[in-house]
Amino acid sequence: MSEKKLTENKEASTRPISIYLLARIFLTIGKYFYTILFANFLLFICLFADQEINVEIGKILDRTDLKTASFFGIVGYLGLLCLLNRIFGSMQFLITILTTNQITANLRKVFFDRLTVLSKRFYDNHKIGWLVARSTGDMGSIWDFSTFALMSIMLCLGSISISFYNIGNIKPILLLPCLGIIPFTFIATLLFRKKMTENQRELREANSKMIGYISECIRGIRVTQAFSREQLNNKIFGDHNQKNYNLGIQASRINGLYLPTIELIGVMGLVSAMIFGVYLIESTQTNGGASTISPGDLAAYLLFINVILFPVRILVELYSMSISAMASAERIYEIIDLEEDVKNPKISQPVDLNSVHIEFQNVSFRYKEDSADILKNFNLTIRNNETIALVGETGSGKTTIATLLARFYDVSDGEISINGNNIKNYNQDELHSNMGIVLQEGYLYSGSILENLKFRNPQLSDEAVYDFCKKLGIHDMVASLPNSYQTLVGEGGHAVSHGQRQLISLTRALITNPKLMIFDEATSSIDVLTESILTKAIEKISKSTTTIIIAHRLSTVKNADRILVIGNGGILEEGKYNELVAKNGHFAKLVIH
Amino acid sequence: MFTKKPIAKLLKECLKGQNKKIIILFLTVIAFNILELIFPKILQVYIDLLKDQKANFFGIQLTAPSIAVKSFLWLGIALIVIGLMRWGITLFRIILQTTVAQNSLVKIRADIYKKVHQLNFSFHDKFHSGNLISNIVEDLRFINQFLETGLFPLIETSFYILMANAYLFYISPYIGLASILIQIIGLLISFYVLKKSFPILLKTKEYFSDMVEDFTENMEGRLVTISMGVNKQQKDKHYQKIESMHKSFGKEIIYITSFHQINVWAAYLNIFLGVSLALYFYRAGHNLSIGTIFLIFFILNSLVPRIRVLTRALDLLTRSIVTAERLEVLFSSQQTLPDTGNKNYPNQANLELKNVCFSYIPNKNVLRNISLKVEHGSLIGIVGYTGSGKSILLSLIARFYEPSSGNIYINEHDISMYPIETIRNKISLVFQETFLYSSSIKNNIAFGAPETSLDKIIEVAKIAYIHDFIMSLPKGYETEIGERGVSLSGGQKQRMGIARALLMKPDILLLDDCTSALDSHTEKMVISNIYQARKNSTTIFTTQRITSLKEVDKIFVIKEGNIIEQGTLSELNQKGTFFFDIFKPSAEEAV
Repeated sequence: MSEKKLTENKEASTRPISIYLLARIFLTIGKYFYTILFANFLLFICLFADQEINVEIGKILDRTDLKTASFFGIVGYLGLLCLLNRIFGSMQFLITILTTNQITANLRKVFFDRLTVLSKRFYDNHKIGWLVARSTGDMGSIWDFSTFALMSIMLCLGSISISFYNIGNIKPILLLPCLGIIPFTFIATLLFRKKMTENQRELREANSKMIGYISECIRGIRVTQAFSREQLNNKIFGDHNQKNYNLGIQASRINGLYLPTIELIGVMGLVSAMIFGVYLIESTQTNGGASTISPGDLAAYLLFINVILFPVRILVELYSMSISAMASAERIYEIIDLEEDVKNPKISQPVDLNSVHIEFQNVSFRYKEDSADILKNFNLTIRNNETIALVGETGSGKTTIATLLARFYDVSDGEISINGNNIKNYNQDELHSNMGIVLQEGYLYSGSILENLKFRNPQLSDEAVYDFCKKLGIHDMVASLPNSYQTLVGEGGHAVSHGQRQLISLTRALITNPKLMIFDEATSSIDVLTESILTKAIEKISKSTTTIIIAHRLSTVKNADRILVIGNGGILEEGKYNELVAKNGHFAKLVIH
Repeated sequence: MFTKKPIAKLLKECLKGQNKKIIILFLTVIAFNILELIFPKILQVYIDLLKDQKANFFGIQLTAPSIAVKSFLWLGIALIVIGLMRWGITLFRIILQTTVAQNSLVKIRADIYKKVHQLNFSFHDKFHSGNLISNIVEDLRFINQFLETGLFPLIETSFYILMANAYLFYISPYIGLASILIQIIGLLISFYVLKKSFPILLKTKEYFSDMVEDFTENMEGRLVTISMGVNKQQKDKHYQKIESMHKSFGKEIIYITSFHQINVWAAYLNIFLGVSLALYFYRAGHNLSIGTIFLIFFILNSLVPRIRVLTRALDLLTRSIVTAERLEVLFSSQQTLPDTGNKNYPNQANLELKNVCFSYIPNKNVLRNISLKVEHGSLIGIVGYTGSGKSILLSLIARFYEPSSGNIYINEHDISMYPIETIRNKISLVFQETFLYSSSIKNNIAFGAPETSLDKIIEVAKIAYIHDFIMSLPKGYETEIGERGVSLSGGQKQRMGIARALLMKPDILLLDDCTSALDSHTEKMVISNIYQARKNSTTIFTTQRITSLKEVDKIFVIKEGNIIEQGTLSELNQKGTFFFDIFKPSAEEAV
């Protein structure tokens, strides 16, 4: 399944639970299989002991020597059974919870792993709130389900099967009424299944949309407050809220009808069992024989049937819980199954950027299949240690050139090669770690300035960082801040000014001395004086690196080896600064104001 | 006391206005449990009739002439009747229960949403938005779970356990007493264990928040991570956070298990003791029938699943305490802007700042003693070094923060004398970073006034010099853009932000470095357009480019939070001024 936007269509909500999905979950459990098997074994012993208690009660009630036999002889075995039940029960409980804890941890890792492989296009199309909801809400729902529900399911199925065994032991014919319960329960469940599944899916969907909206509102809270849109947003949220409410009430109607109906079926089963038992006794008596079933047997029988009733009810509740959990699992696996848009090659070329030669050959790019070409049959050669500048009107395609070179997207047609190799043949991480890419929006991870500067290489010593900042000419500026390099930048770098963010972002990228550098409006918010200091420093560095600069501020591009004016999907003009100014064409128009 | 604790406040808030429903629910639960307890009584009668041909039903002596279907049929009918009654009560109970729960959820969600929006910028600066979101999501999920699988099962099972024990006491005081005692001791011991688990519980929640924060940051900073080639590094870091959280939870599990198991052990001990006592009394000749021994066993046995449900509910309840405390922090937060103003905004608004100081953290002033005057209708430029305080100055004028000291005046009144909504309508600030919603371009530009007609929207789009670009898109103004306006270039986003603000026709327009992503030509057009369109309004903007300042009436130069120079372009653009020094490198660009 490609990285196109995950569709959420209405049909999907009526699909039955996929066996495939269950198998996937089973596979994720993988190495814990034997542990879970062992836990189930313990549980089985526990349940067996539990049922034996019922058998024992029946025997006790039948005893004719109740008043005379040894007291401990009567109750001793009972006590032993209780003890065994608890020992194995507790062990099983502990092992199961610890295991599901591990399983969830693994699922989280697999999920995150997938997200780190997906490329920019996925993140363009998916809201972060949506992703966070997946990782918290859906993951949490799966966890809750697997921890308690899984155990309860084992408990219930185990109880029921042992009960049947015990009933059969008394007299096989007694199984008849019990077996009657099953098909009725089954039919009832089938009737409700479709409605329940649909409701659960819609509920999770509505919940996700609501969370997505809350998330977007919180991230854009400043804009909301700036435009006084609190009330309107509140109304929109109210609609989401109401929708969730309605679906929740709908769920209760369905459950409210379903659960007691199942219980009623159970009661009917019990009643028929009781009457049937009396009938059996009566018939053997009228036939002249001694009754083959004793009151104690019947007592035990009733207990076994009761054992069946409660678990059936729990199983049924768990069924709807499992639908919800399956819906969550579906959403998690949807992402795990996604194919990345920009793939790494199976065997990759080693990256050596000591000498760099870049070729754009007949490159075309359009964002979507049906959108216009941003670049058309674009050709460009960049030689080793060259500094080229890309200028042009906003939206002309200059950023696209850098984006394609950085391989955030793949080209639609044509090929980009570095040192004779198609860039698709390089491992992305390896390529990027040898490049210095500075974007206009410098996102900083929360932490101190120093931590952010060490982002690419946490092994750097503090002195190495200070030295580099001195080389760039910004050390004094950072050191003069109230907390100097320890200043916390806040979420996304919000606690420092935009210009400071760009400064840190730029330094962060260059600190590892990459041999290929791309600057995309990297200094747009930095004041002119600081920028000129930076530009001088970068120019010095550029002498021994291959550099591509995209900038509007012409002071930064003046000393480039080559300036290219981009427009109409290609190169409009090319040359050195003075040449282009003299030409009096596109470039001159940009310069003279 | 207890009523002051956050969890109590949360419950009260949740259940407000639903008192009648809750009382009916209680009654329903009691009725249900009565039926549950009559049920085994009938079974007891059944067994006694089978064994001794006679039975006692609450004082009524019953006999069965023979073991035949027709003598026992009435028992079956009685059970069916009880079953049907139970069916009806359960249906009613479930629907009522869910209605109460859903009502509570709707209320809490609305409360949280509203509160978050009332809190001012200072609050949102402090709280990581990703953290805030994930906390809210987790908390809502939790409350949902708590109400549906915690609170109501808690009520049901508690009632049942109480009533069952009362019934046992009625059957045999000694057995009843023993049962109650064992259960209480079990509860006390397990609660002691639970209390010990609190520190770890809190730690796990911390690790969880940490993990989610890291997740959110990784999603937001995805492009940075890719471009730096540090995927593996970030992945390892996040894996560690996942592991820390789950390891802490592993420790918590030991406590949870103990809490749970202690009560279940107590329940089984109860069964053993109850049956033994019953047998003892039977052997001692007390008035106990065989069927009664069965009844006692049945009741004690039926307590086991209820105790399981009860402990799970109690577990959830204690976790809710943490949730409640966290929500309390949100709800009790006083960081809102006071809105007591009632003055009418003047037609000709002159802006004046007098000795304005501002600091995010006490004693660390970002703005120091800023004093300036701006006449209505003027075009003002503000320049300064990176980090000199330009942005916060504009934010203060727009009243997103309050000055630590000093005053901001609109004509003769302090800005706080005007209602906030008026200020928001009359003063628009365009932020450096444009946040766009997942909606159409049209809706984004009309964000402040959604009912605006398309031609008015087009008008401002033309001023912001973005109309042509929008028309070049296949769906034009109906084009959907994603969160943060992704798939638009920086310059396009900035111009959208400008158009959005222009639509409100603000009296004072503040532009915070909004043209940084535009090329000189476009920037010139935009500023010129704005100037032409807003002859009778005030516009203040910050910029890094000297070329943008050509038409301004006055320039303020800020350094380290102080205004160090002010004047016209020609006045400042002379050798010796600080202004000149800042822009010297680009001086050659100016024609």
